[in-house]
Amino acid sequence: MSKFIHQHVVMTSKELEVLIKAHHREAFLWSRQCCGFDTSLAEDILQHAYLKVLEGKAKFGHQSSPKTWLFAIVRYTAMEWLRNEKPTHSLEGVEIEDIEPDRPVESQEDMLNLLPSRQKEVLLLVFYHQMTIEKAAEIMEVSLGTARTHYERAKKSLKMLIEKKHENAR
Amino acid sequence: MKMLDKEERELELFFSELKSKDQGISTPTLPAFKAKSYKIWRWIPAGIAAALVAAIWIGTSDKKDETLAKDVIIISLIEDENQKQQLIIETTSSMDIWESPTASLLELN
Repeated sequence: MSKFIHQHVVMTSKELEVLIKAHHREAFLWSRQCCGFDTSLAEDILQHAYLKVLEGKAKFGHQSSPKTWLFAIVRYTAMEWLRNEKPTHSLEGVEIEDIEPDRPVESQEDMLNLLPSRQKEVLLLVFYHQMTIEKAAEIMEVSLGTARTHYERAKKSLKMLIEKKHENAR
Repeated sequence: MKMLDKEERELELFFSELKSKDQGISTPTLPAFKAKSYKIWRWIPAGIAAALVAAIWIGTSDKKDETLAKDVIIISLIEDENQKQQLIIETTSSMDIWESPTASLLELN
């Protein structure tokens, strides 16, 4: 028997409301980060994610913590929206040196937006939301090995962008 | 190892700056969660309609029992005052009481 069988835990609507209230601020910030730091879009995505939770479309699996589960739903909802609304092109495997920003990179948000989405996600989950790489892998729906690879590449890419910014400032 | 620590510290500083900047962003108000009871209200019109249909059905089915589809012939065996038995044959389109022809057998037992 596979140890990855998902056991669904039935939560009452009251329990789900408590869970949402407890993680609302963090879920909102994560939603914002998932949709390129667009605040109004983040609010819409969060509403859709909450609806999925309350209508039982997303079921809580015993294998993850409630926060990890909520973050995974928010990420999935954002990805769903971005897939439908925007023509996307994958940045996986693209080196950071090849990326030419449209406008000067000034803020942390600009720098993070230049990273491939998986690299951006793993850094935000680990450094910003204080999660382990294992939890980040769960949220990103990738294996632990893949998450580690994205993490290592992401650190190098971001460091390079920070150095570039410092050089331009001189 | 020192290099790694420096890299990590640099990234931690980067994200702590981002965090302090995000403190200025206000959290949207939580959407009002609808109580589950709204589903009960949805069933009320359906319940009223079902009750009406049932009432009409019961009302019409009672009337059907009052009139018979065909005229029936009732044959009764009656004993007169001289203790002579005679058959009375009558025709009717409705019946108030009906007794099974074998009911007397049950009484004997």
